[in-house]
Amino acid sequence: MKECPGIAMPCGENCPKVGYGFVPIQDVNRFYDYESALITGSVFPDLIYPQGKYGPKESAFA
Amino acid sequence: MTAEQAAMMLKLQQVGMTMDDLREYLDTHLYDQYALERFNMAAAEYAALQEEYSRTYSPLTWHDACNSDSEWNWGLSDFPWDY
Repeated sequence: MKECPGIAMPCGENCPKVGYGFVPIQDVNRFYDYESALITGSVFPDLIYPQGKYGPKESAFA
Repeated sequence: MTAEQAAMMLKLQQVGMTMDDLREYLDTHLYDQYALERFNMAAAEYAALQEEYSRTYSPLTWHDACNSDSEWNWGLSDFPWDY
């Protein structure tokens, strides 16, 4: 979506992805330890998509 | 709350969060042996931690054994969600 109709700040190519349309497959053989799981929010490393890893650019709205 | 109590409470939260996440996974993967094994491991660890916490400090739930012979400390001590 090149232009963002209706958004005051057209972001063109820098339009950040704001969501994922699906849940990645969780490899159940890969687990976080208890502490890391609570910090990151999941026991599955495959589900951790922080800003930067997921979207190439920082959020244009940050 | 002492540092030891806080450390044990944090560990309970960590193990509890792993159980929550595994429960959601197991709800859709009912026969996943590896996840079942991981869940049972965490459940055993959580039960032991809960028993130790309740015995040492105060009950985590009202149906934990009361660690006092003279007062109902479920009602007297801070509730677990107050921390």
